[in-house]
Amino acid sequence: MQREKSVKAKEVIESLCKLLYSLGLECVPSAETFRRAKFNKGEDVVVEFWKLIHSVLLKTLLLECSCTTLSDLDSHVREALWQCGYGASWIVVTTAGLCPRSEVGSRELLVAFGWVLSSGSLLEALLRARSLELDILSLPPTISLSSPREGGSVVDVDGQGGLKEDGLLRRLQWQYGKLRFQWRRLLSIQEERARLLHQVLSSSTMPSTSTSQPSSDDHHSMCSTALKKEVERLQTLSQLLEAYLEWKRQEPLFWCWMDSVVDSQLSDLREEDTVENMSPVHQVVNRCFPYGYKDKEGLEQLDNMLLRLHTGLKDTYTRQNRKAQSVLQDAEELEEIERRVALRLHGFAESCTSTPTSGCCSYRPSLQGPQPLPNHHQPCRPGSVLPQACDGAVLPGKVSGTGTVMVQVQASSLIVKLQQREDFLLGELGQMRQAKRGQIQEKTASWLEGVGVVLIPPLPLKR
Amino acid sequence: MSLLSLVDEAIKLCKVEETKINENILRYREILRSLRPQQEDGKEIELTDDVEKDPDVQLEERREMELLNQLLEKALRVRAGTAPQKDPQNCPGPKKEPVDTTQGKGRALTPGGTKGNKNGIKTTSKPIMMDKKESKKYSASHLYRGGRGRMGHPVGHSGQGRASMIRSSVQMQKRSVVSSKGFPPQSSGKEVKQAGPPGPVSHDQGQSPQASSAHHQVEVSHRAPTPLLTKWISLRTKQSRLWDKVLALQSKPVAERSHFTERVKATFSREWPTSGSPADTGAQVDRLTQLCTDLSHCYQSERLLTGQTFRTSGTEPATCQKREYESLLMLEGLEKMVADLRKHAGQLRKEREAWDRWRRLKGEGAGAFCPVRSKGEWGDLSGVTPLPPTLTYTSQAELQEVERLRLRVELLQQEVHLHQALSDTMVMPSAPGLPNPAALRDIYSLLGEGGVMFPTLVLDTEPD
Repeated sequence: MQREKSVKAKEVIESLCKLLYSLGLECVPSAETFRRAKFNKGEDVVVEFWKLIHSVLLKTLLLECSCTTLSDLDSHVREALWQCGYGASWIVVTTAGLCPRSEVGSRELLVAFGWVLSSGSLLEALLRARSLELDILSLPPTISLSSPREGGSVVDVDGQGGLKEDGLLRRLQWQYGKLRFQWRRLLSIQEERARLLHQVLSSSTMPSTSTSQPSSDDHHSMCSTALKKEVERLQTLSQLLEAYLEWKRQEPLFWCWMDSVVDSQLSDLREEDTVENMSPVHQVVNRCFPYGYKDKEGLEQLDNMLLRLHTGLKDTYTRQNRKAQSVLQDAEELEEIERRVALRLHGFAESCTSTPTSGCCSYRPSLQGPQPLPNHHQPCRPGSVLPQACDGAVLPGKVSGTGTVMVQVQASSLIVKLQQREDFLLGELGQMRQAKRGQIQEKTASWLEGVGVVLIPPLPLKR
Repeated sequence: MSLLSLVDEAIKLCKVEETKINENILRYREILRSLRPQQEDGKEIELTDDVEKDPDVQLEERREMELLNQLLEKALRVRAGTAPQKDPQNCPGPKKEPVDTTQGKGRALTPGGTKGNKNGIKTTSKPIMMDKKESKKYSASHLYRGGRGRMGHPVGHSGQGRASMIRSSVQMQKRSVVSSKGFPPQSSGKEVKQAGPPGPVSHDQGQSPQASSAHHQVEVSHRAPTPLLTKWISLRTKQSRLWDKVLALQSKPVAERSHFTERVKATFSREWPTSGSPADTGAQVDRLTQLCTDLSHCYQSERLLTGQTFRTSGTEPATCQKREYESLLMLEGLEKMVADLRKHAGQLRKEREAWDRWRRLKGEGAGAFCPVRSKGEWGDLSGVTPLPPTLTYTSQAELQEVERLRLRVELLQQEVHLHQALSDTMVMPSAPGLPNPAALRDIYSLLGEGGVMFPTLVLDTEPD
């Protein structure tokens, strides 16, 4: 019975290792190493696990600095694990001081690795990244083209400084022009890509019509190298998917085994001090952590902004409340206005939440056949959704209680959502610009009059 | 100069995206080329109709296109460097024709064969085949083709001259140019630059042979598919089957896993925060900050606009009231959202403080601590699907629309952020300060029109 169990465990771990390897992780130890790690045997095991955790973390987290030297490995891994919310004793500061690296047993590392594997959907995220690399016939996620803004310094651009400000404005305009040109380019090549993608996809589902007639051997061989590469990639991808399916089948056993690891760890710890009684060291945050400070600053900035916004809103709101309250009689118009406002507010809320179905994530496009095919395309299923409970509390008051995991998305519904988003963004942009135009005109009106200059705004473009 | 750096950043990101897309395009073309050489013959014949729709082209337009092409060429030449070309870019490609030329702009090149009987002067058979591997030149070739396509009219002479001029310039870019203007294909101007497979060369003996080959190949459409091709197709179907299974599996919760997680959490200190992580908190703070910025800009513009309508709308009280009511509702909504945000921010602050108590001391034998700014898409709490769902679409237009909208939304988002940055950093001149007119014009155009249009400042010398 024991032997059976251990053999099963080995199988399971092997399937995990195979999956990890196909996912492109480096330094995947063998199944034997895993088992030895459970019993805290061997120095090399420890080293291997450090490396494994490090490579996993590298792939899944975006670290803001580059830490490649081995000597920093353990501190980086500790820090990264802490950032992920792992609170084992060897990571956390105790009054007794940090555990030096050599004292961290392989069992602890194994448990840490299990923790990392179990939190969130790590394997799925890795699978997605790897499949995007391998499968070129998928729509990659739209990268966020806007870089995060740090608070820039206020530049007084009133032209009084002379050349410097002028130069800045001119350069800014030039850059803007370049950027707009980039946008147009992107849109046009995107169109081309979609067209080609469609052609490739449609040809992959209609084998009878596509034939390749080599005019000469060389030509044929040249063209088929591309196809060969594609075939190879597809094979790798299929292997990866199969490994994943295999792993999912055996996953429960793995977690049972991990439980046993934790058991053995706890039984060892019973003799030493338990972690539960640890309390954090009180420390002065600002002094010691340059990076922690940055986070804290971000939060303070947020608080300040919110406070300002709130007070401003209160003032304006109370002022306006006194007038214009109920002058409008037309119910239809009222409704129309309310609807518009609700739409705008919704647009804001949406922009905060990560909207998975609005095009931010990647898709695997599949051409719907003209007749419903039995297996793959299933055109009668309009976006089947598998509900999944999650604690997605993005914004209190706008909590999405149960996140849904989309399996299939119809292009038409996606188009509708995207169009709404586009309209919203255009509307906001228009509002902001209009406000600025008015502001500039008003502010400069008196001056211009004095000098005898008239500002003629350009005619609005007919969109 | 943070404004400039912002815009530079934006340009860089766009360029990166562009190279990625171009790579994809190249790969697709390769695949297509190996897939269906003669199916595209048939297509090509259909496509030629498009070109006919482009009637008389203005000479000026043509010249403009020409100039533009030259400029672009020069620019690209500067950037081209020594990108090796291995592709047998030859005109022949009746198989390449449709791939390259259906730009959806009706500027498809006319394959020579089909137009053979039209005019003596062939304009746009395959003037310049885009080298598929030259990603950067893609946009130029767009225009190229456009330019060529527009020359639907046989102005042989200028066309000829242009062909040679372009050909020579193209030579530098290592493109292959096929003589276009109704020259007997075998004889002139077919310069194959690449040392690519000679295969396609046999095809591009130009117009008439092509026509015949086109017909010929349409006949042999029923040859058995090559083994490689069938393998590819079977792999694709297998892969989509596997994906369906994987997608179905991904959301099933695994009880043992959560059990394990609970047990491990139990081993942490009692005072350890029960859920979340510092990285999560950081990510949420970022999101909220962005939302707050959006809201404050919205609020500012609402305020400004209401003020403006108030001052300028003497004539139409109705619209003024409507506007006021609308902005009132808007402000109400904004206030609610901001109140919510503050609550949320309070929560985040508490969480942050809880984490800070556990934050590790620096300097005790540890190196630099890198902050984990975002968790990637790993532990996202809002239920993002980690695995790509299947997007079913019914036509090419739909797919193109989806892609276009996705990109458009991103670009608009970028534009909005830039505008916010601009309006935050550019301070309007105060009353006593007199801005010089050029600066005023620039500011107005950047802030008010997105840099697209400019106001006019006219000196009013008419005595009142």
